[in-house]
Amino acid sequence: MFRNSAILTRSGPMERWLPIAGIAAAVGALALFASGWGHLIPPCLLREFTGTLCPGCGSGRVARAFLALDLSAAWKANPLVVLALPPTAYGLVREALLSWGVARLPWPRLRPWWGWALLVGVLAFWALRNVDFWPFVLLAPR
Amino acid sequence: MICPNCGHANVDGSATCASCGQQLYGAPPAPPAPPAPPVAYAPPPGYAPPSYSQPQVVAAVPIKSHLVMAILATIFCCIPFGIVGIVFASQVNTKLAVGDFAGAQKASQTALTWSWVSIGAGLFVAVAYALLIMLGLMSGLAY
Repeated sequence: MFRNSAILTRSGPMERWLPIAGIAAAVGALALFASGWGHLIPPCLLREFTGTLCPGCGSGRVARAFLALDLSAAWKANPLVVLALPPTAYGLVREALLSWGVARLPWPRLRPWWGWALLVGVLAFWALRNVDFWPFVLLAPR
Repeated sequence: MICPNCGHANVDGSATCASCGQQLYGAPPAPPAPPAPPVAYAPPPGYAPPSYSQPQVVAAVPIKSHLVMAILATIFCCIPFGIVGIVFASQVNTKLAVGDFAGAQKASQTALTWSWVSIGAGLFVAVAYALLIMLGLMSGLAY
């Protein structure tokens, strides 16, 4: 039992390589935007097929706005991504440093309800940004 | 080697953390737990027993919730499989809080799996889309 649990909780390739892949993808996407090849970045599949917005719709425009250092345009494109980017990026870097045994950055001790609150938040954002009247139109990419 | 669990700086090459007993990366696998009953179990030297009321070895190892992965997969992959990851990642902490370590481990694995599914599907779509556009460019049909 002890050995199994130790194996299950050991950092896997996701923690190890995802931050690097993420940085590479971000740099690649920014380079595409900057060079005018932004249409190579795929559209949201959910939006293509159903016409409804997903929680991530607008993240491409967020990336482009960050490239132009335009925080207000980024916020208009997808406020959830703008809010989630700093903590998730920090979490990724932290996991990577942990998995390589380099350092242990601090992480807040979250209560169990935090995860459920996040889940409800993302689902509510998803639903509300598809509602077509004020003030919910503020949540859709503009 | 810095312990990923408690941050204790160990001598390089140690199999387990001298402070909390966490198995360290790159170290040879820990010897199997002795089949003897818990009463006869003698902890290795330098192993500080955790301060739990029950003699549960499972609790000595942290179980990851993979919540960060699930959130990332949800909002950056545009395919809502990551939502399932968030559900299971949340279950991990809830189950840990009531002491259900086996259930927490299972939920942890499931959360990681769904994050992988979401990220894999997102990558597949991105690569396929870029290839299609390239093909279209080369044949002069699109754009």
